[in-house]
Amino acid sequence: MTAPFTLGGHEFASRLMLGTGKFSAAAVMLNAVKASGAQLVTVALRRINRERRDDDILGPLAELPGITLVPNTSGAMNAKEAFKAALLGRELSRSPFVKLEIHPNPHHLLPDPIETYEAARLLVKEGFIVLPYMQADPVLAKRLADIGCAAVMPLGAAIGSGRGLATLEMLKYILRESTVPVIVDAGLRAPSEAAAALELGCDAVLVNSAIAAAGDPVAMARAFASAVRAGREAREAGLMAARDAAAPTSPLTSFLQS
Amino acid sequence: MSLTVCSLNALAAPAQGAARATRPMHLTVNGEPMELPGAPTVGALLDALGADRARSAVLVGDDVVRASAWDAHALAEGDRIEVVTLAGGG
Repeated sequence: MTAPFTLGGHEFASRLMLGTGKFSAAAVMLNAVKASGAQLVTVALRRINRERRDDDILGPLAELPGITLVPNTSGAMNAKEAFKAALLGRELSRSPFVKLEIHPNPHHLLPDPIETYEAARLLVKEGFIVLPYMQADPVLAKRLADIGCAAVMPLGAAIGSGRGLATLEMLKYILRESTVPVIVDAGLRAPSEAAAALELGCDAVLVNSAIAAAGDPVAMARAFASAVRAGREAREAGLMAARDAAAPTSPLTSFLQS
Repeated sequence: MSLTVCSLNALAAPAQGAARATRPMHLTVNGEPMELPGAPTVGALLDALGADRARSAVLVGDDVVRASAWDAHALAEGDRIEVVTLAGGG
């Protein structure tokens, strides 16, 4: 058993957060959520569909035991829009959590740090547990923690890019100083990258595309769950110090030499 | 209590003297123009849209109108309204 993960005063056993976008079907998504063991599950907002009945994802998700919804503010171009999206998300989910994301450029989907900071300030004041998606910038991470964000969510690589922990060196700076949980959000492709993030000291990871776009999303969800658990266990166990030279594991006695 | 949406034909030729009562209200709903008769509320709009109330949230202008206020909240000419629900997202 690894230590529970505390976020905004709530405790979670799982350190794998799951996004629900891009799944081929709602049933696959639900089975992936179950297989992942994730307790924090992100959802998005969209306009209701007037022509056809909407796929109701809220109903089935709400029936899964132990799931806390984390609505995101995807689609918001600035702080004002993100604030409105967060209020709407709270109405629908009854969740105090919000994944704040403001990424106006569709090419790289990188977060706007100025609008994100401003929105975070407003949302904290409004009583949200704010989880901001951000560049892997230790200065911004500190500023967001200082104004009351419950965690920081630096990107490993661009959303959906599958480039892994491209920001590794910056993540190390964030981890060294952060007073709030650090959740790597975006960019992961392989479970080994999630394990590496946890070994490094990240508190959790948020995965969506790597699972939704896998050949077998449900099996991949299980694989990520194992990797996150292994990475955290390794972190708590304490990794050995790395050395520049070999150190023998067997006695180097000379009795075999003639 | 449900308010029906007037067909455009009916609106085109309002009964003499009843023009005031049947003059449609022009709204923008989820980015598209929409007309509702009389003095509609948010609740009436949701019914006209066939929205699932338990799965909807409503923004009128910049303000979220909470579910408890939907049937009382009167819409105004030119209101911009967003009716949203949860969907898959990362």
